[in-house]
Amino acid sequence: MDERKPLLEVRNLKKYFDKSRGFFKREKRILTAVDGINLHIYKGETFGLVGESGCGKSTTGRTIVKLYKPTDGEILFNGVDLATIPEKDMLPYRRKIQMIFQDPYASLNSRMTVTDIIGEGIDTHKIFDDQEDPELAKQEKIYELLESVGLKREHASRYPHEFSGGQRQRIGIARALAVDPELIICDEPISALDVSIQAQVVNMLEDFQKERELTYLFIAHDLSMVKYISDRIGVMYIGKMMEIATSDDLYDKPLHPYTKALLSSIPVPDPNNPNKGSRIVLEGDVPSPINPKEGCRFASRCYYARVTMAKENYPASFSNALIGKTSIKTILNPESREIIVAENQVITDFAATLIDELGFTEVLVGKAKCFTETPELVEVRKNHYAACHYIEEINKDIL
Amino acid sequence: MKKKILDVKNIKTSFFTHLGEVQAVRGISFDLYEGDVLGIVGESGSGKSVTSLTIMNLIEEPGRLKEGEIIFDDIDISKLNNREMSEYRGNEIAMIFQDPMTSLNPVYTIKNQMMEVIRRHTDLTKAEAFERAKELLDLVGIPDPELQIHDYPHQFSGGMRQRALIATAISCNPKLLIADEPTTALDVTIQAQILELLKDLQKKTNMTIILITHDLGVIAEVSTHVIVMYGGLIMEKGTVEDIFYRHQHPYTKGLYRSIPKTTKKDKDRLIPIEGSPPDLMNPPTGCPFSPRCPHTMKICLEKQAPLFNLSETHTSACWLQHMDAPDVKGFTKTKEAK
Repeated sequence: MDERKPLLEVRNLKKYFDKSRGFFKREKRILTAVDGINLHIYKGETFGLVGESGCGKSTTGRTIVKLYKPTDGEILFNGVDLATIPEKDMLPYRRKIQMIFQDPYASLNSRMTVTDIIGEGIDTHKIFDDQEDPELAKQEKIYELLESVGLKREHASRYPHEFSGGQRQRIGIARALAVDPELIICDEPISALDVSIQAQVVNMLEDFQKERELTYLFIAHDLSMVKYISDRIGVMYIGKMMEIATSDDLYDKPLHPYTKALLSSIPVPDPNNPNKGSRIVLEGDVPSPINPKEGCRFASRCYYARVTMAKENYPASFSNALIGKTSIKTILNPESREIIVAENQVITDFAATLIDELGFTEVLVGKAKCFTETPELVEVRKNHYAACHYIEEINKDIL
Repeated sequence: MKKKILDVKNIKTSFFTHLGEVQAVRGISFDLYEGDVLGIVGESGSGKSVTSLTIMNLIEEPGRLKEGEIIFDDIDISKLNNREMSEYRGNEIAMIFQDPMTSLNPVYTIKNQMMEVIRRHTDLTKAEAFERAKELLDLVGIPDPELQIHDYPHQFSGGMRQRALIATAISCNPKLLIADEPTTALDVTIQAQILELLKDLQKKTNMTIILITHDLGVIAEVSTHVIVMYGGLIMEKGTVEDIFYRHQHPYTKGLYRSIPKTTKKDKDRLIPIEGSPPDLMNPPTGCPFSPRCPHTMKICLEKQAPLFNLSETHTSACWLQHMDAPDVKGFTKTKEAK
C-alpha cells in the first residue's frame, strides 16, 4: 500500500442473503453475495469494480452506502466505521457518499419535477438553511447544476418522461452533485445508454472529478470503459476479490487466470486484431453463489486448476489414487449413462472403484489445493494484488 | 462466383401509432451473398431490428411495410401471406433473438420445443427428430444432451438457453440466419463462447448470417461485411476492413471515436457525438445525422445524400463525398452510386 491515506477503506466486508426454504426454513441456503472483500480508495481517484453478473459488485456498492446492512466487516470512511454507527448518525455520511444508478428510467421518480428531484437532497441535508433566502439559494443552485450537466434552466420544471435516457442520467448526476459529496458510487451509470451518449456522460464525470476533487467507485461490466476511466481496478468473482491493480497493470499484465480470461473475452473493435486467435474461452457458466464450497471460487472453470490422471502412472492402484480428488467433469458410466460422479464433487471410495472397473484410463481431476483452500488476496507485485494459489507458477514469465 | 441469397430493395417500414407515423426504416437497400456474415450496427432506434423483422415478415400492427421488395431465392417474400411465409421461416430463414428466456416457452421441455420445430419443417419421424435434436444440442456444445434435453428452460443458464435457441434455429439447415443482438444479455465470458460457436457453425455449414448489434467489437469479431444505420437509413456500407480502417461517414467516425480502445496505451480523451438521436416521428428533412454532425452544410439540412461509391465494396451517404463539396481532411470525393 502506498503512503496516501485512503478516503474509503473496506475491510473483510460480507453481505449474505438468507434464501433458506422449506418448512421453518430448514433447508439452509445462504447466498454469499459479498464474501469478505478488502479494498481501499484514495481521495480523488477512480476505483473500478468489474465482474460478471452475480459477482457481487453492485451489492458491494450498495452495502457501502448502507442500502444493505453489512453482515460483517468494516467500512471506514475517513476513519469512521460506517458499518457500526447507528442509523441516526448516518445522515452526514449519506451526504458525503452519493450514488448514481444504472437505469435512468427507474431511478427518477416520475411524479416529481426535475427541481424536486435535485432539490430533495438539498432539503434533507438543510444545506442552505443558514442563507437569508434558502429557497432562492436552492433554486439558483439547481439552475447552476442543470447548466453544468449540459441541460437548460427551462428543464427545471419538467418531468422525467420528457427527457431521453442520456438526459435522465444527467439529471441523476446533478442530483448526486447537489449535496457536494466526496465519494460517488456509480453503479453501471452508462450501461443503459447508447454508445455515442456513453462518451458524453463519461467525459462529464471526468470533468466533475477534476473540478470538485471527487472520488468515484465505478461499477461496470464494460471492461473497456472501466479501463478508460479508472486509476485502479478490482476484479470480482462470486463474492470474492480476485485481483486488484492499477488499470494499466491489470490490462497489460493480468496475473489471475480469471482476469486473463475475462480480458481476452472482450471483443476488440479491430477486425485484424493480432490476438484474435489466442482467445481464452472459459468453459461452463458462473456457478451459484448459494452455499459455496471451500476452495477458490473460480476453480471449477479454471484451466490451471485441473490435471489429467492417467491409469498407467499409478501401477499400484488407480482407484486409490482417485479417492478424494475433485471431479472436473461429470463422469458417466459409458453404457448405462448413469452419473458416477457429478461435476465438482469429491470422488468417493465406491466411485473410484467403479471408475477403475469400468476401464477409464484417464480422469480429469482438480488440483486439491484449489478445491479445498480459499486463496487469500496477497500483494504479488507492488500495488498488484491477486488471490490464487499458483500465481507464481502461472506467471513465471512476468514475475 | 458466389450466389446471391438476399436482395433488399428500398424497404420502408412505418408504425402507425395514435401519435402519428413512426418511420422506423426509411428506405434501405442491400444484397447478401452466400457465406457472408453481415453485421448491422446502430444505436437504439436506428431501425436495425425493424429491418430484420421486416425481412422475416414479422412486422405486426400498427406497423406495415410501406414499400420495397425483399428478394430471397428469386421470390419477393415481402408479398407473401402468412401461410406462404411460414414455409420460409425456419426452413430457409431462421432467427434468434436477444433474450433467450422470452423466446423459449417455460412450460415445455427443450426436447418438446426442438422437436416441434423439426417435425413441423421436415418429415422426420418422432424418433428421428429426437435423435436430430440431440445431435444439434451436441453440436452447439451442450454437455450431455442425452440428459439435458429433458430439462425445462429455467433449468438452463442464459448461455445454455442461447445455445439451445441456436440449435433450434439451425435445425432445418436454413440458408440465412438472422441473429438480433444474440449476446447482448450475456456476460462477456459467455458472449465469447457464443461468438466462437457462431463462427464455428458458419465455417462448418457456410451459412449466411445477418448479425445485428450495437457493439462494434462483436462486429469486428465475426462479420465480413458491415452496414452502419442511423435514423432508419444506411449511412455507410462496406467490408469489415472498409468500415473499421477506411470509414468515411461522419457518424461512423464519431461512433468509432467515442469507444475507448483497450489496445492503446496512452489515454486519449473520448470524443463523444454531441446531441441525441433523431425523433423518427418527425425525422429531419435532410440527413438524419445533420443536427449532430460537425461538418453540416446547407444541403445536408435539405436533402439526404445518396450513397457515394468509394470502392467496389464501400459506399457512404455523405454530401462531403460529392464532387462539388468543399475539401475536408479525411473525406474522399467520388461519384454517386447508381
